[in-house]
Amino acid sequence: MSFLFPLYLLGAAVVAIPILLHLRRRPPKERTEFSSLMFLRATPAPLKRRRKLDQLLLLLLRCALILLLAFLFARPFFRGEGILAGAGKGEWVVVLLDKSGSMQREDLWERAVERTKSVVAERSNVERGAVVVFDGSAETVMGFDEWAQLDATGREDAIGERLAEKEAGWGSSAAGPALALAVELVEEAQATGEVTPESAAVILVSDLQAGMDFAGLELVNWPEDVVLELEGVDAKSADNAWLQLLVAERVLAVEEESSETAAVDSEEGMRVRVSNAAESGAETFEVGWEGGAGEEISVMPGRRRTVMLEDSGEAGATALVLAGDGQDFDNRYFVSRTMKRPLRILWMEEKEVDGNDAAGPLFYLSRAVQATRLHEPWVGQDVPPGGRLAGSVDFVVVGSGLGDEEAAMVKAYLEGGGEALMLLRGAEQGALLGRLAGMATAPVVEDALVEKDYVLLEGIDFEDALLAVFDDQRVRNFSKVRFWRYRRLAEGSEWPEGTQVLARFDSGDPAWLSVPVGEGRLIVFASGWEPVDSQLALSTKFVPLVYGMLEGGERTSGRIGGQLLVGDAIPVAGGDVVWRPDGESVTVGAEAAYYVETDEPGVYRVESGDGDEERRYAVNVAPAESRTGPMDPAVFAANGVRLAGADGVSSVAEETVAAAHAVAGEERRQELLREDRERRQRGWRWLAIGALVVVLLETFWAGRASREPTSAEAV
Amino acid sequence: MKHAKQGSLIDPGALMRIGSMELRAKVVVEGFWHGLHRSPYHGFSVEFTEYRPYTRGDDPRYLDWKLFARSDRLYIKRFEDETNLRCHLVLDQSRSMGFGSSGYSKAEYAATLGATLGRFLFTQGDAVGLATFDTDVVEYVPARNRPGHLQRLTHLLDRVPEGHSTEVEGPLQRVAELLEKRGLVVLLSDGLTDPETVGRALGYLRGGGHEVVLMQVLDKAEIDFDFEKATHFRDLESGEELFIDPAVMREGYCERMEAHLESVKRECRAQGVEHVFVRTDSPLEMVLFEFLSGRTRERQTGSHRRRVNVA
Repeated sequence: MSFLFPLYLLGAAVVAIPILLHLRRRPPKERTEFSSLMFLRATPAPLKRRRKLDQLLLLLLRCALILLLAFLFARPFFRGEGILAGAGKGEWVVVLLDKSGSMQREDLWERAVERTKSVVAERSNVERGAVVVFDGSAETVMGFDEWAQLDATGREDAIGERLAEKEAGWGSSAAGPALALAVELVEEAQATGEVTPESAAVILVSDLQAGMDFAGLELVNWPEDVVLELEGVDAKSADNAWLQLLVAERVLAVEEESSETAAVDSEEGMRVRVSNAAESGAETFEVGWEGGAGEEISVMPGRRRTVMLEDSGEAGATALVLAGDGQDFDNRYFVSRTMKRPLRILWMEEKEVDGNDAAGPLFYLSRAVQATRLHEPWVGQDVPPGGRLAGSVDFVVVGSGLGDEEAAMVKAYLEGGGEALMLLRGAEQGALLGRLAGMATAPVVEDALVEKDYVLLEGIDFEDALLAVFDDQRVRNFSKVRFWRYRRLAEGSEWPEGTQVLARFDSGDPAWLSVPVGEGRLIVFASGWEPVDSQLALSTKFVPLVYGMLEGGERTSGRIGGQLLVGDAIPVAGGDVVWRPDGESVTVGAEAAYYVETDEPGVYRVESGDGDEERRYAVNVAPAESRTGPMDPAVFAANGVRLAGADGVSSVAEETVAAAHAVAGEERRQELLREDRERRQRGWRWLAIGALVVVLLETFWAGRASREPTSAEAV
Repeated sequence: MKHAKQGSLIDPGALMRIGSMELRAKVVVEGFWHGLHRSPYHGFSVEFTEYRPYTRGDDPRYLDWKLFARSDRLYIKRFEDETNLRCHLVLDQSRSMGFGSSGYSKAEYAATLGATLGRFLFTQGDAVGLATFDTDVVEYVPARNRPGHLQRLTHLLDRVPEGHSTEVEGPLQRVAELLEKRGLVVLLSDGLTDPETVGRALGYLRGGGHEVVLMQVLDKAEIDFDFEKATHFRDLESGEELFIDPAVMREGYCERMEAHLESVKRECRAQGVEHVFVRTDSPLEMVLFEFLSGRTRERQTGSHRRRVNVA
C-alpha cells in the first residue's frame, strides 16, 4: 500500500493526546458556586474503578478516530496491478501528440516527445495502442495493427525513432478532429475486430493552450468507456504577444465595417493589431518592419491595441516583427505586400450605356467596386479584342439581350469556367437566357405585376458561395430590401440539371438563380438593383453581394489579398512554380488547382509557368496558436468527454487541466499518476465512512457514560 | 404559627418574579395592612403619630384628655411626646449575598425585605434612610420622609451586589459615623464572617446610641446544605475552590453553621442587638410580622426607655 500524501501519517502521532488524557486523573469539571466555604473542608476525590472499562472503550474509539483521519488524509492506495505493472490485457490506448505552432515555444516539443515516449513505455504492453501526431491535420505514427504486430520493446523503439524524426509544426491545434479521430480509431477497431476493450484511454499530450480548436468535438458521440487523459507540458514563460494585420481580416459581411475598412485600406498605412496574452507579464513591445526601426507600444495584459504602421515599402521587407515578449514563435508576421490585382468586370449590353446615369444598374456596380490595396477594379463595356473573354475578364454582367456574336462569346466564357451575371430587365431576354443556359426551349420571361406595394426576398440559400458572406445571424436580414418590379420566369421550363434557386420573392417567384453552364455558372437576377426595380443597390447588402460574386473561387479560402494561414491552400494553375520561404521551389503538376503544403510561415511566391506573372502569398501562424494561456476545460464537459477520474464533472476537469498545466518534470508526473490511481481506488471514501461510524459510536458511548450519575469520575 | 399562615401569604418565589422593587414592596405592605385589619394582631406597629377618634374597646389610658377638655371629643393620641422614628436600613451587598438556590439571591431577598420595611415605615410617616456596603459604604441616603424619597430608596435597593468579601467592621463603623441622629438601624446581612467581627461592628452602631436589629438572611441551601453531587465548590467571595462531597460533608457543615449562628446570636445579645433569623424561602409578610412582634416584645421587656403601646 502507498500513500499519496505520506506526511499526513505524522498526524497519527496525535493519538498520544487521548492516551495521555486518559492516563491523567481528572476530577470532574463541574463547579458549584457557594456563598462561603468557611464551614467546608475539602473531600478527597475518590476513584470509581467500575468505570474504567468504559473509559478504555472510549479511549480506543478516540484513538481509532485519529488513526483513521490520519490515514484518510494520507490518501492510501494500492499499487497492486495498477497501470504501470498492468498486464495491459483488454486495454487500449491512443496517444495524441500535439505538434501545433504553439509547441514551438521553448522546448515544449522535445518535452512533449519525451512525455509521449514515457507514456508509451508505461503502457507498452497494453493490448492495442496507437500514436497520432496532429496539428491542423493528423498523422498516424503507429496504428493499432502495427502495435499488435510488435512486441513491447519494438513498439517503444519504433515510436521513439519516428518521433525523433518529427518536428513541431506551425499549424493550428485542431484538437477536435484529432480527438474525433482517436475515438474513430477505437470504434473502428471495435467494429472490425468485434472486440470490446476493457478500458480505452485517449491520452492527449499537449501544451493545452487556450487557442486549441475543439470544433468538431461536438459532433463526436464520446463513448462511455473511453477516458481522456491529459498530459500537459507547460512553457516557463507565459508572456506572449502577437500581431495581426487587420486589412487582411476584412470581413465584408460585417456591414458597419465594410466601408471603413475599405477606406483605411486605400491609405498608405497598415492597421496592425497587437494582442497581449492575459497571463503575460510584459507590457511594452516593439513593432516594426523586419530590419527596420520599431515603434514602441504598450499593451496591457489581456488587451489588444490597433496601431497604424506606415507602409514604408522598404524593399525586401516582408514581415512585421514584434519584440519584447517571452515567446518568439509568433513574433514574425508575414505580409504578402501583394500588388494590386486587376479585377476586370465586363458590362455587356446591346447599346452603349452611360455609366454615370444613376437610373441604370452600371452606375451602382461601378461604384460598388472601388480600388483597394488588393484590387484594381475596372468596369467597362469594351469587349477585349479577339472576343475571348476567358483570361481577359474576371466577371461578366449581361444587362440586356445580346447579339449572336456576343452571346456566343459569353457562352464560351461560361463553358470555360467563367462566371457571369444576367440581369433580367425585359421579356426579350428569354431567348438569350435559354441560349446561354443551353435549354431546349427558351424560358418565358414576363414582367410581373407586384400586387402589393413591394415584394421581399425569402428562402435565401446562404450556403451558396455567392451568399455565404451573409451566413451570419447578424447580417441575414434582407427584409429591408424591397423590390417593386421584377421579371417572372414562367413555370414549365426545363432548366439544366443543377439549377438552384438562390432566393425567391415572397410572391413565390424565383428571384436569384444559379444555372450551371459547362464549367462555369450563370447567375440570373430576376430584378435589377437600380432604384426603378428595387432598393438593392441602396441597401447595405449590395457591396458584399457584388464582392461575393466577384471573388468566387478565391473566397473559398475565406481570405483575400494573399494573407493565408499555415495549412491554407494556395490557388495555382498547372505548371506554376511555388517558391517556398525556405528557398526551395516546387513545380506543381498539370492537374493541381491548389498548393497545400504551406506547412511553415513565410512568403510563398507563385510564378506562373511562363514566368510572366508572380503572386505572393504570406502564410502566417494561426492567431489562435498565439493564445498560449491555459485552455478552458469546460469544453470537455460540454461535449461529454470523460476525463480520467473526473466523471465528466467540470470542476474536477478544471483541476485536471490545472494539474496537467502545473506539471514540471517527471516527479510531478509520477505524482499525477499516483493521484490518478488513488482517485480510481477511492480508498479515502471508506476511511471517511469508517471515521464517521467511529465518531457516532464515540458520541453514543460518551453520551451514555456522562448520563450515569457519578460523584466523581476519571477519564 | 409561621408555617400555618403560609398558605394565605405571598410565596417569595412568586414575589421575586415581580420586576419592580417598588411594586414588590407595595404588594407586601398593602397585603400586610389588609391582613392587619382582619387579624387579631391589629395595632402592632412601631410608633403612631396620629389622632384617631376613640372607639369602644380602645384603651382609655391613651385618651387625649386635654383635647377632650377643649372639644368634648374623645381622641386617642399616640406618642405625642415622641419624635418620628428614624429608621436606617443598612444592606450588605457583598458577593456572598449573591448566592441563591431558589431562583433568587439573598441580596434580592434582602433588598426586597428592606424595601418592604422602608415602605411600611414610610407609610407610617417615619423617616427612612439607606446605606449599602460591601468592602466599604457604597451608597448612603440620609433618613427622610419626603415625597419621592421612597422611590429613590427602592431604586438604590434594586442594584446588583458587586462587592467581594463581607467586610463588616469598617463599613459599619463608617455608617455609625454617618448617622447623625439616633434611630433604628436595621442591618440586613448574611453574617457569614467572623462572629466576633460582627459583634464589634454592631458595637459601633450601638455605641452611637442606635437601636440595632440584625436581620440575618440565609438561603435554605446554606442552612441545610442539601446538595447531592460531589463537585467543586467555589467561594463566591474569595474564588477559592474545594472539592466537596456533600454526602460526607453535610453533617459537619450543619454543626459548624449552627455553632456560627449561635455565636452571632451571642454577640448580638452581648451588644443588645435584636437578632432576626430570616430564611429566603419564608414569606416577607411573616418576616415583617416577626420583626414588628420582636420590636413590641423588646419594648415590653423594658429595655427601651420609651413607652410602648400595644393596641
